[in-house]
Amino acid sequence: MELYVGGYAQEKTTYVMEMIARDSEASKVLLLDERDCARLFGGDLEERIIILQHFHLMVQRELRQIVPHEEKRQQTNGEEADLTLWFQKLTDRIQVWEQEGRRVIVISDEVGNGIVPVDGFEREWREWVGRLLIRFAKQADRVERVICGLGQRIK
Amino acid sequence: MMTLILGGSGSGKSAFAEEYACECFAGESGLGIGCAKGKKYYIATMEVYGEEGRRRVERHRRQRAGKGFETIEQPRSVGELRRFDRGDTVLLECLSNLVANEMFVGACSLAAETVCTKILKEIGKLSQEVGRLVIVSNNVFEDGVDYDASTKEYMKALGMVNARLAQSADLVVEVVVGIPVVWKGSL
Repeated sequence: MELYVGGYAQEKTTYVMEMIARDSEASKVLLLDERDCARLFGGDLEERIIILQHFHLMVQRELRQIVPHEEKRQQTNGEEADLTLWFQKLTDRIQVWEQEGRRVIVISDEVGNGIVPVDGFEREWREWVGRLLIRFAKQADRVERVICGLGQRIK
Repeated sequence: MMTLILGGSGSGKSAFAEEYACECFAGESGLGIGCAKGKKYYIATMEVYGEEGRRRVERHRRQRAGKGFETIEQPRSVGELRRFDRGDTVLLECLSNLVANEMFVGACSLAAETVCTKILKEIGKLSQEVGRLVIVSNNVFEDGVDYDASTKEYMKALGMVNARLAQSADLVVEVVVGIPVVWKGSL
């Protein structure tokens, strides 16, 4: 698995697509984003390259399903939402794809480099994106950080 | 030796800083560089408010458990601590809280320069007293939001403190998705 992170509008996907083209892989690419979460766990895929784009928004979407609003949080005694199960399911899926010989690429915005938000959901979202990206980075064979469409390989 | 470790929220900067401080400590006591084997201290600058704050502290405590740090809660005036010597490794976490605590006193807020000068003086003193000072700071500068005047003043203060410390630090590391990226010196 490969991980590409960077700020908003840094042309991360373009960078990845150009890299794939350079690697001269004629394979079909499947681009999945936060609107395709259901397809992540769906049936067979024909594409050999799978890109999970907007991982930070996938996390946001999942977190929203767990923590729809503040009232519900109060009912759960202010306990943190837990995305561990969802993430486990996702990494299992990625592992299966890789065992099938597919190339899996995850792309995410870095969202933690700002003033800590007043809103609880926003804070929790940033923390989860960070934590899950750390876990992805540990599993990844390659990690790059993209700025202005340029990549810096950090693993 | 002074090391500055930077990162955003959820970047893994704390876990990395702890691991790094432990390695430094093990390395230095192993070398036997002429000073008595010191201790490992963790200076916590966060003031705890509410349930979320308590959970946060709890998570960090669990993360530190078993690593042999003696925890000192010091939300401001880190220069007033008097217990260190040259063999000690001190992990100071984190500047974003320290700057906020020094800056916002009751209903007043001090100017960025005032806060910056005080903190730099105190950290300078601390770094003279201990063998290895590892400082954790936060990157809060890249969300492009146009904040109110007092938040901007805070960002200015933290930015100045970070930049000045980076000048005097031997090593500056940014943690990105748990991976250290070296900006100055070498790991």
